[in-house]
Amino acid sequence: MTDGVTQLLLDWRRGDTSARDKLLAALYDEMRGIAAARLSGERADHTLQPTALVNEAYEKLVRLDRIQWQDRTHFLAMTARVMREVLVDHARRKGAAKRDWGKRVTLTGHATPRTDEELDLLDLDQALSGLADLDETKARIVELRFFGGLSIEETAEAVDLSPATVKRHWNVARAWLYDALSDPGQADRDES
Amino acid sequence: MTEPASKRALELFDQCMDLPEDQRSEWLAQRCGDDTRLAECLERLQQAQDELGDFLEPNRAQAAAGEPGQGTRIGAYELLETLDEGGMGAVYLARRADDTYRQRVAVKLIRSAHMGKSDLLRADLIRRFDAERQILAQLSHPYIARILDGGQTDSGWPYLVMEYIDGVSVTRYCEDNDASLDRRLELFAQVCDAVQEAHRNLIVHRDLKPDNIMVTASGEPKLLDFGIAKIIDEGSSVSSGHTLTGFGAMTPAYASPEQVRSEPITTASDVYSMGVLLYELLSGRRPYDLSGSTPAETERTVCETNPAPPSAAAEENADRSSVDRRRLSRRLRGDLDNIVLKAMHKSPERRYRTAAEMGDDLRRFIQGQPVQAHRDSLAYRTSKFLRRNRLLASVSAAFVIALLATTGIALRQASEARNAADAAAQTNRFLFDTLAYTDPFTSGAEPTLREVLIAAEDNIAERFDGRPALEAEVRHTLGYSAMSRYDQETAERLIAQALEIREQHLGAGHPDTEASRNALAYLRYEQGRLEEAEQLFAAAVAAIEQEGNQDHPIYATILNDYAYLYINGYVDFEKALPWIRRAHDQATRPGTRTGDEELASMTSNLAVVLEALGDTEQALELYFEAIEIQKRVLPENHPNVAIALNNLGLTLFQTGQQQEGLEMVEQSLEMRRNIFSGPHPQVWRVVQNLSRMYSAAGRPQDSLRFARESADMARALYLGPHVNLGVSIANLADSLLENGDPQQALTLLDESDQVFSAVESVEDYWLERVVLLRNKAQEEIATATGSTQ
Repeated sequence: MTDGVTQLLLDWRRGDTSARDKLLAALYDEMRGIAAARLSGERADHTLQPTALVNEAYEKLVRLDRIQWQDRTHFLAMTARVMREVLVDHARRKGAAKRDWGKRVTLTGHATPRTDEELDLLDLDQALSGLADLDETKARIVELRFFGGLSIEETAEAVDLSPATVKRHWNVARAWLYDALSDPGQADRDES
Repeated sequence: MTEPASKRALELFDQCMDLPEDQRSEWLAQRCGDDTRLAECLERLQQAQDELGDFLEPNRAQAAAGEPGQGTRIGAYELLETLDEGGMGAVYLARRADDTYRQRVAVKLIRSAHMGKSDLLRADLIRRFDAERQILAQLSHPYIARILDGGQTDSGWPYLVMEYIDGVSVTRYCEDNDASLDRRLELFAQVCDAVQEAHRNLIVHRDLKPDNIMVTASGEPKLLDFGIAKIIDEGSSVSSGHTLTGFGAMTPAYASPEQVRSEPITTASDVYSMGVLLYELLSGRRPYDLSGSTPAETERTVCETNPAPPSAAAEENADRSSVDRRRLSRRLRGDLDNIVLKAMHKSPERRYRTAAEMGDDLRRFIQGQPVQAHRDSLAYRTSKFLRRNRLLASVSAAFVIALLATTGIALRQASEARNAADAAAQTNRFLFDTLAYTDPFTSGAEPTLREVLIAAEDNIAERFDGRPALEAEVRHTLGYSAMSRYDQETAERLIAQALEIREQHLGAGHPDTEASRNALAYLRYEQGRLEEAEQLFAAAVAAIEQEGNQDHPIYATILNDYAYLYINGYVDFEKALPWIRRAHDQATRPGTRTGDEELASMTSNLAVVLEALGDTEQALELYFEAIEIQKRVLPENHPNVAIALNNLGLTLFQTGQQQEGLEMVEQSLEMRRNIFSGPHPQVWRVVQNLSRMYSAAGRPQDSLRFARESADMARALYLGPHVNLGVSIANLADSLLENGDPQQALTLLDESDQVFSAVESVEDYWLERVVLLRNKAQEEIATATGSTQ
């Protein structure tokens, strides 16, 4: 697995774009595996931290430092999207399985729109898609920051904007999402 | 269904961020006019912004994971707010919690993901971090933000406390103040002064960029994060086997060709970054458009293409009026173009030799004097640069860590700081080239470690010509590494050469010389050449004593290894006892410099011997002592923990606590499987033990399972006759017999006989056992044949 990924990274570096797609697929599988392993433990209060998960994926997939620094940002950026898909996909299946228990997969460590609730990943995903319709850059930045664990600077590198601009987009996007998630009518609009 | 805030609302909200906070509402109200829905949306967004807090912020998750956040106390400082955070750390605005001064400081927390891995690695990193911090703390210059303090948090993360700079980045400052060309040059010359001071102290910034060059309200530049990139890089590289260069923290737009290619970084790399910065400050553009480039394209662009001179770039800058553009372009053409391009030269030796020279040239320009920089000759410009792909190959982390750690130690003892830095650079350069050799681009497949080592070996003599101490060190370390990887041929060659060089230059009895002799002795033991091993160990001990070097920790190490030969080679515990006792006494005497890790090995070995000689009580006590030390100092999956677990498990098993014993040994096996992939003697030994233990515990099927694995593994490991191969095969025969297959057992017993007859020093137990088993097998076959007739 790891060797395969290394080879794909090399191919990608040499400009083979199909290698990038394969790499994404490999990443996806790997991360889904990690997410599943994390979440299928017996403890009922399992929670996920995207950043920690992404780090784990790196460790497993490829020694991050073997990638040159330019690759690193690209790699991080790619991972963000994959991470989002994996987590949301997992939350969806888990949510379906656990609906009777009334509890979905949640993310800890976030201040939440309503004080006593935890952030619902499916709602966030949906709100983020809504944001993308209005402003794709902002949505992408949220994806990179939240799901990819990229710093402001790394995000800036990935979207080719200045750190200051990224920070501003990020703050506006957060406000927009906070508002969207505070209103249950919005977040659930596709489900009703 | 409520509609989300419309696109228009989002746009307006976005735009109002440019305004001071108290003017936003009014501005938005004006834009809304009669549109109540729009106004409502905007109000909600503003409200959301007020309530937002740390919503979605990654650092919240980290705070939950026990890392510092707002309000946390770190040392004497209380964190007030997060200034920035990223993958490698976070910066907080803080103040002294005891409020003795009202001084605001910046606290930088280094938070490399790799640091979380093991206590041992972390301890090592923190040691390096502290050393680095001491150096940085001495750096004092009015234009450099000072390091005030540092340490580690309760949860073990290192942090730095720095002067807090209230200012804006140099690019922003020039833009906001519409700074004149002369002002920009003046400011930049001051930056050169600051960089020069750091370089004079042998500190390279590695990550010079606008965000690290602040300008205060009074117009003074302040450089941030000197040397920090190195600390962060090391934090992320030690655990992954790459400490050669520092690409981790670098920002691509300002990175020099050598940084892009992950080659060693020098002060010239900073000069390059300053060239890029000056380019941007003068022309308003960056030299290369790297947006949307793939990594390979970025590398090609930076390493192989020449940027347009700043004057040409200024002309294309659409942000200015055409008159401005032309005027600026005219002023840049010539000298300033040459100054920038000289600093940005692709080959480091063609750049300004120092930051001061660059500053001097700028000042000469301001004063209307001729500058030193001039264009490259045509011949030079047309010369090509070799493009080399520098991707590190699959070399095990442990391998490189071992190399770097030991080299570092030897260097500290060998020479003075300046020399050491030079030697370290040479060694690193060598390692780097070695690793670079194993470039998957050129070799097609990922090379094995064997290939890497052999490649390394070819270059040692040439590379370290005239530096025998270094050459020996590298050979010794590579040899040791080969040995632990079971490449005995390579190991033998390298270690023997190291020993020869050291004997010649340092003489017998020198700790380094005897370390090599000890390594060779150990190799002889591994090769089954026990008598030679014994002679070499004895010689090493005698030489150390002759020179009076008993206080050196290598002495205890040699004594321990010597005892090991008797324990595992000759299996003569009586003979082992005096040596292991001396080793243990040495390692526990006051003022000992033996590391905890080694002490644990010695304690464990002493326990093995005492147990074999019948002192079970004392042995158990020592086993527990050893495990306690190991758990404290070693990462979870360390071979020595696995060894101690195995030993303790066996002892427990033999003293009647069978279940506990089996569990411990199984645990040891699992650990070893994690550490070594595939067949390895360390794995083999425990597999073999488990087969014996399950047999003794009356579980023949489990025993057979391990016996098969043990024999398979031994066949893969030992290509020629080896006592372990014989033991494995005999044991499989034993187990087959136990499971009712005398016919196959008999075949295997013949095979083990052959092996045993070809090797020396087989335990009597096994020789007798083979005879017993043969009789029993034949008996059973006879009975079976008899009963069917």
